[in-house]
Parts: sequence; structure tokens; C-alpha cells
Amino acid sequence: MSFRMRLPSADYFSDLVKAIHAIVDEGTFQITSESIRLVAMDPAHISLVDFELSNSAAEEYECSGEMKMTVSISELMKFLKRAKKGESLILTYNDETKKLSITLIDATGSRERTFTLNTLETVETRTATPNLTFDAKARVNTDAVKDAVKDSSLVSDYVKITIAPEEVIFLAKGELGTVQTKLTKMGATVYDIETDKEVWAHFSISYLDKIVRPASELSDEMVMELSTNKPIRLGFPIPSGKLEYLIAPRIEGE
Amino acid sequence: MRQVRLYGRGEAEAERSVCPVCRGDYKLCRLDVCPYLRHLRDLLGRVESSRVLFGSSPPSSLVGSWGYPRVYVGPLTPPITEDTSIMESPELWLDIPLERILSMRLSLVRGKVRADVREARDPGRMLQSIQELGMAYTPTDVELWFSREPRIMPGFMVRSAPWGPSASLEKTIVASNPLVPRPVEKAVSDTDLKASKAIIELYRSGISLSQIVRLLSLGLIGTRRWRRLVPTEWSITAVDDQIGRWLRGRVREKRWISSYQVYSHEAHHNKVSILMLPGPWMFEVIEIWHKGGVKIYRDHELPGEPDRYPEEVGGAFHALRLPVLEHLYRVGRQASVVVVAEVREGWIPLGVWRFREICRRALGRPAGSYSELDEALEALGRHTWAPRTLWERNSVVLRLARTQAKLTRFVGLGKV
Repeated sequence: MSFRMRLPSADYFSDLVKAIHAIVDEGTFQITSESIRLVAMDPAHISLVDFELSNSAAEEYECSGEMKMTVSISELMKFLKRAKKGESLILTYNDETKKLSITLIDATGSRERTFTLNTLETVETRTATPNLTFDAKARVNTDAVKDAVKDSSLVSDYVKITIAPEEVIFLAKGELGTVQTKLTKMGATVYDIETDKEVWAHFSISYLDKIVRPASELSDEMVMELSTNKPIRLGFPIPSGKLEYLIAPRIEGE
Repeated sequence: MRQVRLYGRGEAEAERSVCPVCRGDYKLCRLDVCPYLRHLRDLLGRVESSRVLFGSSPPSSLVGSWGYPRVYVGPLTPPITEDTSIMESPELWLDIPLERILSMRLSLVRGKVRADVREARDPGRMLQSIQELGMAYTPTDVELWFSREPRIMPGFMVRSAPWGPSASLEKTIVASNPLVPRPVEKAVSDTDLKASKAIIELYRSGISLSQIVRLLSLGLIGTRRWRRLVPTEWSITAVDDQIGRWLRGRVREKRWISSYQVYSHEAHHNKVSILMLPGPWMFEVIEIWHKGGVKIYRDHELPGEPDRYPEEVGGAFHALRLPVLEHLYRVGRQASVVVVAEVREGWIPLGVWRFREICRRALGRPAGSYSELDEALEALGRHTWAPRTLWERNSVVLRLARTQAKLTRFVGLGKV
């Protein structure tokens, strides 16, 4: 069985892989005739990434059957970092040889570079199915969240996120003092809030930061979904695909 | 390899001003007043009256950091020719009195020569014989010719063990044939092997930490272009760190331990108490000094956070992390770990090895095993000199273990 996909921008794919790399060093892509998908939890079981890119994102897409491909995300990242602006990308995977080749082609088609990566043994593990329901949903500006997280890191290593009907609040408390960021509905930073009550939970800043930073390259807006003392879902709308994360809360005072 | 910064805050503050005799001002350190030098006076008297010294180097060498990148490098050799290997074997030092360790180390005469760190890859005759000596793993006879009589200027350092009188070297003659282990020969001759990889290969073939440190500091391992002299203190931490990283990569793939475990050991006015919790690899050192009041220094590494230099604890962080990882690697498990390292009145600054060795010793004994975190904390509290609240309140790992929920609690496990 084999798989082949041509994407118009190698750069863009590189950013996507970087966003996955925020959570895992190693991951299994499930390849079907519709899409490639990766769902993985970090080794500490605190966060999860759910990534999918459908065949409509590709200029060419061929898949002769369902297969799994496990790769070292950090090694893949090393190859993709070699991509230059304007280059397109062809990914080819052969189920028998267990090799993934990454071909970078420049805009004029005059240079073609092929990197081959040995893939890893796929270990059959049970993966978490991210089917949670949430009480509140807010669509916000990614950079505003990135700043709020960065600001919070000045005083603490965790932050309380509150979604209220009219606003989204980030509050960090530490020995030094407190930092609060309030994003108000109908402003330039909050596009929409869907909730009838106030919900909140605490989250580790390092997890928020390492997710939001690379994802902010991919999308200007993000969707935050939350219930009190439950995991948060961070969704970054990408064309012809899905990039979502879950982070488990810190339950203070338990 | 990443440059190791000089000191953590704890090292700079607590460790450096600690000699009960001269109170850390080594200029006041005098042969005739120092009680630790009592047994050495005859020996040192002889050293001080001669410009030539013949002895068995354990082997040992020292690269100073002063004046970097033009540093002082040279062998450490006592004026005796017997089996001196114990003088360079910290793994044996927990069982001998502090005074003996100190007098042993102070009998080591330091020959020194100024060299640019880059000369390591293209050494002159003198540096070449110093390097040759450094490759040996059994005591090796050397003849040192000094430009003047060695003078007592004992060097105390935060991380490395101290040494005795020193003088500039004119000539070094390696008098017996140094015995060089195969793996060392292989790593030294491979000029395409990166230093970080060489350290791991040497470690895995059973070469002692002291020797790996010596090879790194004398610029004997690494790719040719990057071989240079590395101050001994930096080498110690670099080696602890590199081996630790390698072990950490392996340990992170293992299953979590299944109960809370407590270990503790005390030696030479130092105590190391360890708490292991079932969970992902996390590591924290809480260093407590009980000397005229209580001082606390702490550092940690958490899952998902990039590596950073332990600003507070410094070299002791890596020295304590290594035995913990060695233990977990051996039992094939992963854990979240809190280490409480305490120092009491009576300790003299002999180096960071004592934390490493005490920690090893603690982990070598059966653990106290508990099914509840609170029981384990209580047990740890019985071991530490400091009251439980002191470290409990300061621990980031404990707070995280109590508050950070796992996703698995909310998300069903099933096939996607």
C-alpha cells in the first residue's frame, strides 16, 4: 500500500508539524483516502493534540488503503526546516518499505530535493477519543491570548481562565503579585462568546504557551471551550483541516 | 555542547564561604594554623623545599577557570609512590573521615602551565604529557620539575575536590607507562565523535565519572575542531548533565512506579532524602543549608518545559539528578522526584561529589514504600533535618502532583 500527497506550500506543512511537535516527539498518522490524522497525548497525560488534514488541502492525493505511519516528529521537523519560501511539498509513504520521503520542489520546478525518513514501529495503543462537551465557547484573537499567557508567566506558572457571558479573563496570582487580562466581548479581541454562565479553570502556563505560540503562526483566531474545573479545548481553524488541543486543568485546593 | 554557566546562586552564596578555619578567605589559609593540615606538615615541608617532585598521580589533573580562555592546566600528584587511586575516587570517600579526605586532597601538588584552551587539539610537549597522564586509569608515576618551590595555596572549589601546594611547571616526565582502557583510547582517537556522544559511550562502557571528566577537561574528546581545555568545574557539571539527559530519554519511555517511595542517607554532615511519586518524569532539588540560620535554594524541571540552567542550585542539581536517573533506568521505571539535600555545620567545601555519592548510597538501600502521598510525606519528614513544612511549602513538584489533573480522568480511552 502506498500514499502520496502534494501540498502547495512546504512552509505551511512545516508550521503544522511544529504545532504537533508542541505536544509529542513521536506520533502515528492515520492515513485514509479522505485525510491524514494524528491524535496523541503527551507522555505526562496532561495535553492532547488532534490534527487532521483532508485531501482537499492537497493538489494531488493518492491513497491505496488505510494505513498507519509512526514517525519521530522531531526528526521530521529537522527535514521540514530545510524548506524554503515558495517551495511545494510531496509526501510519499510506502507501507512495505516503511519509508517516508519528503520532496521539496522550488517554484520553477528546477530544483527537487528528496529526504527519506525511516519510520518507527507502530505500537498499538489506545488513544483518547476527545469527545467532551463544554459549557462555554469563545472565539478570540490568537495574539491577545498569546500575550495574556506571556504576561501571566511573569508572576506564576499557572493561570485561571474564566469565560463569562460578556468577557474572557486570564488571572495569574503569584508571590510577586497578580496579572489580569480582560478581553471584552464586542471588542477587537473577542469575536464571539456562547455561554449563559460563568465558567473557569486553572491551567499550566507552560502548556498554554507551547501550544498557542506555534499555532498563532497558523491562525489569527482561536476557539476556546471550557467548563468549570474541566479540560480546556483550544481550536485553531485551518483550511481543509482541524487543529485542536486539550489541556487538563489544575485543580487548586484539592 | 552547551556552555555550562559558572555557578548557581546557592553555590556562590552558601558553598563558597564555608571553611570553618579560614571562613572562606583562602588567603588566610595557613599551613601552620590549619588543623586539617596537621598530619601533612612533614610531607608538605618536603614538597616546599624541592623543585622536583616524584610521585604517583592517581591520576588527577586540574584545569582552572581563572583567565579563561587562557587557563592554568596541570597534573595533581602527591609526593608519594604507592597506590594513590583513592585520592581521585569520590565513590569511596563516604566511608572515610572528612579530615582524611581533606588531608589526602591537600597532599596533591598541583603543577600548572598556562595554555590557551584551543591548544588542546594541537598540544605542545608539556600539554601532551599532561594529556597522556589524564588518559590513564591507574596511578601513574610522574616527575614534575617546577620553576620554583611549590607554595601552599590550597584551592577550594564548589564542585571539584580541593588540592594542595602549587607551582609553575617547567617539565613533566611520565615515568611509567600509563594504562589506558580500550574505550578511552577509542574515544580519544576518534576525532569525528562529538563530545556529548563520547561521554555517553565512555559511560556505557563503564569508565568512571572522574575519568570522563578528566578527558573532557583536558580536551581529549569531541570532534577535532571543538577539542579544547574545559575548566574542571564546568566539566563535572557538563558530564553529569550529558549522562543525565541520555538516561532521562530512556526513563521517560518507561512505566510509572506504582507506589510512593522514600529514600535517605546521611554522611559528612550532608543528608539527601528522596521522594519518588508515581507520575511522569519531573525532578526537583530543594537544597537547605543549616548554618547560622536556614537558607533554601531550589530548582526543578517539569514535563513540557524546555531545559534551562538551574540558577539557584547550580552543579548540585545535575549531580543529584544523575544517580536518581541511574536508579530509575536500572529498575526500568519512571517517576516524579523530589530531592531534599541538606548541609549542616561541620561541612567543608570538598565538592559536589558528596551529593552524588550520598544520593547513590540512599538509592542503593530498600525504599520505604507507601500507597498514599501523605504517608510518604510524613516518612520523608522523619528523615529531613528541616521541618516538613519548609520543603513541602517550597516544592513545585509536590504542588503539581497534588493539583495537576490528568486528561485520562476526563477523556475516555478508546480507539479513535
